[in-house]
Amino acid sequence: MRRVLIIVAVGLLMTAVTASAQPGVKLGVGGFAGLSIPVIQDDQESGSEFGFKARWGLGKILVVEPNVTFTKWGKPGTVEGVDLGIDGSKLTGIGLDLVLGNSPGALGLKPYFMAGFGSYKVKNDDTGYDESNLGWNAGLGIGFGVSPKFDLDIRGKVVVAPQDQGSKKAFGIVAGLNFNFGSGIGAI
Amino acid sequence: MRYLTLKNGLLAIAVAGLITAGCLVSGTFVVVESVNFEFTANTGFYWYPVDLTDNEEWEDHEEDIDDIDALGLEFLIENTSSQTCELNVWFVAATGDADPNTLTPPTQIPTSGTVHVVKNLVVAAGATRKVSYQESVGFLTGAQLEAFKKIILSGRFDYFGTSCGGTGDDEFRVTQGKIIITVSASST
Repeated sequence: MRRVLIIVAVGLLMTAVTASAQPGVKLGVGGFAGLSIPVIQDDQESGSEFGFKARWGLGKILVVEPNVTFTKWGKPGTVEGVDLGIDGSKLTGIGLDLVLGNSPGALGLKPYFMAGFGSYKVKNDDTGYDESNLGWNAGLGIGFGVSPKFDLDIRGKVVVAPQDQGSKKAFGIVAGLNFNFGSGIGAI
Repeated sequence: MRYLTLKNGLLAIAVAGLITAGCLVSGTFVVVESVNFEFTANTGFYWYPVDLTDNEEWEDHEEDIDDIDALGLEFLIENTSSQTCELNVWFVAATGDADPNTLTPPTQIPTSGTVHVVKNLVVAAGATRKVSYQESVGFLTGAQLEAFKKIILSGRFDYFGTSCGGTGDDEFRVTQGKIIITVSASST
C-alpha cells in the first residue's frame, strides 16, 4: 500500500510539473511543522511533527496535496508509579489530502477545510510495536496569501491511523510556508 | 453552492470514516498489576497466582480489549548469598480462585502451556539488580510473545520462578513485582 501511495504521489507531482507550463495552472510546494497530541494513549506524550507537500490547484477552490508527514511522540510519563522508560512511537504518513479553499497564489486570508487519506506506519523501537495501515485525516485551517508566490498556512487536524485492532489517533497543529508557481499564479 | 456541496461531502466522509473505523471511543491504556510476592528461594522454587480481573484499570477495559501492544515486567532482585544465581520465570494460564492463602501450592512447574519469560537472568553474589519495564519488553519476541499475550488476556494466570536454592533466610529475594500491560481497546 505504501508503495502504491508513493507511486501515486510521485506521479501526481510529475504530472503537476509537466502541467505547470499549461495556461492557468496553479502549483505549489511547501513544508510544515508543529505539535502532535496523542488522543487517549497512555503510552505516549505530545511530540512534534513535520512534513512536506506538493499542491495542485484545481479550479478556484479545490487543491490536491500529496504529502509526507513524520511524527515523533514524546516519552510516556510515570504510570501508576512505574517509569516506563521507553521512547514515544513514531508515526510516518504518506498520503493525499483534498483541500477546499486556500487556492495557491490567492492573496489575503483563506479559511479552508481539508480531508485526506494515506498509509500510516506506527513504530516503537523499544517495544517492537510496528504496524502499517490505511488511515485518514481531516481538519480546518487558515491560509494567508502574502504574495502570489508565497502562502502562510496554519492547520488543525485529527489523524486516525487504524491498526490491526483498534486505532491510534492524534490532534495535530501545524504551521507552514508554501511556494507557488505555475502559469496560473501570475494571472491572479 | 458547489463549494458547500463539496464541503458537506467531505464532512460526511469524515464522519462516516469515524463510524466505520469503530473508533469513536478507543485508546491505548497501560495496566499495572502489582504482584505482591516475596520470592524467597530457599527451596529454589516459587509460585504465585495472579488475577487481573480484580485490577480496576483492567476491569474498565476488559470487554473492549482489541490487542496487547506491549508487555513487560518490573522487579527487584537481591542476592545476599555467596553464590551467583540465575533467575527463571514462567507464566501459565490458570482458572479459579487466585488467593495464595487458600490454594495448595504446586510443587512443580506445569509441563505444558507455560511460557518461559525470564531466562537465566544472572545475579551476582551479593548483588542487587532491578529489572525495568524497558529491559523486560525485549525478553520475548515472535511466537513466544504471542503465547504470553494469550496467557495475560485470559486474565487469570500463575507465575512460577526458580533460582538457586539457599540454606539461610532471604538469601535470594524478588520483590516489588509488577506486570505492565499496554492494551488497545475500542468500543462504538
